[in-house]
Amino acid sequence: MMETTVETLTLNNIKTVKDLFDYVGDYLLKRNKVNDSYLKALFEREEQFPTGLKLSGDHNVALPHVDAKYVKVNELLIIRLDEPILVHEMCTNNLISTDLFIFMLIKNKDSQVKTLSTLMEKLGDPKIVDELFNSSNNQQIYQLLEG
Amino acid sequence: MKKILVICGAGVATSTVAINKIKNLLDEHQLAEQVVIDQGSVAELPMRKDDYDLIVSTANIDESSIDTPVVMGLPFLTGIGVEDTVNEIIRKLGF
Repeated sequence: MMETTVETLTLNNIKTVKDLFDYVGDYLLKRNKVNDSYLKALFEREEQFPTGLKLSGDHNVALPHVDAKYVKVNELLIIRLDEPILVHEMCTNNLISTDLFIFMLIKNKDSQVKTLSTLMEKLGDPKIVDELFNSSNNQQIYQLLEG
Repeated sequence: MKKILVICGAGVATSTVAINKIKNLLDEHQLAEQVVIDQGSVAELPMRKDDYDLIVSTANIDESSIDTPVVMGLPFLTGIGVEDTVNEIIRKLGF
């Protein structure tokens, strides 16, 4: 997690995964954090290998990500929605409802595994997940997620 | 020696997370030295499936096309239901 930054956004009026991905793809492209193939890759990847995870607390989560070659930064973009939307669950493909998304932007392939495993470990703690959803302090979130 | 193949979409990230958990849990059950764990992607499954006693998958796969026993690896990612899944692995390996 060392060189990874954290950004948070709270979004309204997102009804579907497509709404969300279109918004985030545009947001990241405008800030030069991804290349122009990112959005297409994101849709394909999520369709083929969905990233929704059912957690033990109040929020479920999804971790959309793509191959490192589409990404120019190391960042966790945390999105909170005012209303949950349906996503497919990893492994089962079942539809689950979630209002918390962590877009893993990782340009360095080697750190992808470490970031993911650290994140998974932290997401097992409902208190941390609540903080991810409620805290407005990105530095505090960074410290919560730090390895 | 029993052999497990742990697979995920790309064969890189979630399978690594699952493997680390499985290794620790098999160790707790004093079975770590009797099991070899390999890593792979969904795309490799058709070629490799027959070389293993068990497949653990963190991606959605069509189990009907596989004779090898399959265990869903989702609990190793979410932490929910881990103990049941470990017991399922141990049972399906025939210990």
